[in-house]
Amino acid sequence: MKINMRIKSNVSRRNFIVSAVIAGALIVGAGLYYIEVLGSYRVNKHIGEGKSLFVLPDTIIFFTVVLLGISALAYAYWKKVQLGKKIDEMDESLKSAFESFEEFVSLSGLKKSERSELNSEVLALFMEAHKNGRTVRQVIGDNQEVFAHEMIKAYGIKNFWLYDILTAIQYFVFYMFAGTFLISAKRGVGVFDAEMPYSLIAFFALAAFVTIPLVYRNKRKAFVEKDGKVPKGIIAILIVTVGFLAGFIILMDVIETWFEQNALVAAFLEGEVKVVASAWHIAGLLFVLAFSIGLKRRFHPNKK
Amino acid sequence: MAVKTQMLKGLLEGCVLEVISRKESYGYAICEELNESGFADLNEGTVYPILARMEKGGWIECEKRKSPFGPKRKVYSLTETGKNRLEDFKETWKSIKNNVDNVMKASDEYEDKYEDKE
Repeated sequence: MKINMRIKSNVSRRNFIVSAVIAGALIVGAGLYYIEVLGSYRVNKHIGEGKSLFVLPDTIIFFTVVLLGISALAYAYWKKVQLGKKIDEMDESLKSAFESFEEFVSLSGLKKSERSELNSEVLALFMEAHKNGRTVRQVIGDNQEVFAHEMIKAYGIKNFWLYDILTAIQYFVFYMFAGTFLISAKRGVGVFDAEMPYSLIAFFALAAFVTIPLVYRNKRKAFVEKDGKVPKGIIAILIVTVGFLAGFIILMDVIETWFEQNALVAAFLEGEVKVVASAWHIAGLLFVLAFSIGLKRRFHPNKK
Repeated sequence: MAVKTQMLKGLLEGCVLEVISRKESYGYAICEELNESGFADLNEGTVYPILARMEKGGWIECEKRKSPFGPKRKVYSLTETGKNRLEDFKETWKSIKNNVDNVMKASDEYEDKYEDKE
């Protein structure tokens, strides 16, 4: 039975690769037809009028690389689909625990290569456990969060707060840039003339420095198994973000009503500032962004 | 229970090194071998972080090999550092075991003597 499945799997893999190569060849062929027969390359000044693209020595190499690239992408996609099928076959508790683990690891601050290595290691473990009819509790014990923490700690991760704060700074700078560009587009003024309301800056600060660390923390906490179900981190994100947004709007309204006569509050509610008033401001924000990224790497939680 | 956990933490590293020193192996199989050796309560949730720590510490190294079940497995073997660590562990363990045995023996003798007097 196993042999049959193996043969079947090899056949489907071969068929898929052959199909991908044929599809890639068709795409490349269609491209070549367009360029050679219909396209403007025939009058390209670098090649000469009416001449073929193949007078250039790099053409064949270029299209071979494109073909190989398409095939490799198709193969990688096929592998991903196959892996997804295997994950779906797992026992529900193992599958759910793995998905939560993946999510937990994605917020751990580990490098992409380390995340992928860790996920793959745990997936291999869960799949073998599934084949042997074991449950998630039998494999990693009662507390899945402890297991995830221990695994991440083994990679040198000790605490997350600095990482979260630096991430928040990055988000804040990004919001400032994005907000400025949107305001400039909406008001039809230049980027350097776009003024951002103080209240919007305050909201961005709240979103970045409170919501982001909270959401990250909640998502990590969401890994904890409750009543046999692993809560999804996305619920925490939605609740916290929507809560903050609603709270902020209500707060603004309350402040306006209560302190109508207060000059300071009025200045805050009606005030605007040019966040990006010149190229120097862009340089400054980019510096902060680069500095926070640099610090994140320097004080990376998994750095020994 | 907490005492057992604390004692186990240090000892398990040595045991895992010993299992790997006999034959290169992967996490799941190492755990099974430890279970068969008497650590019946032990599960992969304890063994895998130990393996990851030892790998990052350079005590063991891994080679990824095909698994019939899914993604490639990490098959571990000892490095020179790991071999030295294992030797250190064995010596320390012998010494500790000896000392603990002596203390226990002395306690037993004391209890016997005290009971005789009574």
